[in-house]
Amino acid sequence: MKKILDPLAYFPDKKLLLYNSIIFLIGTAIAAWMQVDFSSTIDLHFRAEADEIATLIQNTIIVAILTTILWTAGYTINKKTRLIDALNLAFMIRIPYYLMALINCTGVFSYMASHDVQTIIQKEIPQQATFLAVSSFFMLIFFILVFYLLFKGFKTMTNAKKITHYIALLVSFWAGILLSMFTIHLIE
Amino acid sequence: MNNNKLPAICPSCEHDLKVAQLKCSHCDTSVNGNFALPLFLQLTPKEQEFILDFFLASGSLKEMAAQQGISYPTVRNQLDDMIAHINQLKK
Repeated sequence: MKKILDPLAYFPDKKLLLYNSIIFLIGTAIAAWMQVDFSSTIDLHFRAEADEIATLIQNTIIVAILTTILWTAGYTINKKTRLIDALNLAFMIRIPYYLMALINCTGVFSYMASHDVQTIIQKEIPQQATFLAVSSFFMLIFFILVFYLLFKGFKTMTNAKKITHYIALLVSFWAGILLSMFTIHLIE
Repeated sequence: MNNNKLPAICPSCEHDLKVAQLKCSHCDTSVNGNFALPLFLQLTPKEQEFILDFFLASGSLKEMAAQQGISYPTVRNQLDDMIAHINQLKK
């Protein structure tokens, strides 16, 4: 379990990159199939219609931006920070999103995306209350997992110890959200 | 041969320990004085073990990581922490 929650500290970089690349392809395929719309490094929405190419482009942009910001923040803190570790960390913090995408396996969320708010409030929410509550709970768990992987991985990648190092990470991550939002919006 | 570990820190007040007596195991001659512990012996047993492993791996952090079943950044971080500790001891 310790190794799964902090893979960067235990697995060889090249092997990890191979596994992460495979997970990225499978995860993106799942996300596309579940009609996911990744509008920034932190967002996950569902589309009314599937758009596989758009999901793939969005996820690729997000991984590229995350790698850049993580490496830049890491290099500022510790000059020994390697790009391969930043890339592996960027791939890893996307994994909970592929699991989150699975909550649309029944199509409820994409159905909601294609209907007006009043219909959803009057019909869907009362009918799907249990499912929505369970989904929200799992979403929260996966969201916590994203930040856990991010902080653990960043610590291993840079040997971060001081509070200022984590502030640099948060500022960079926030900049990454804005940059990805802008880039994805520009492309679409 | 006695395998007891040489303490470098005082168990009472946690300050550095000094060598006060050296004894010849052959003729029982004792030398008394106030000698500082060599730098290597001031390191923790874990750090001493790391140095030996590093030496035996021909100074390759990648090989050390593979032998210990951990990643390269983890071993590099351990080395960086040790360098910081040695620099602190040298002051």
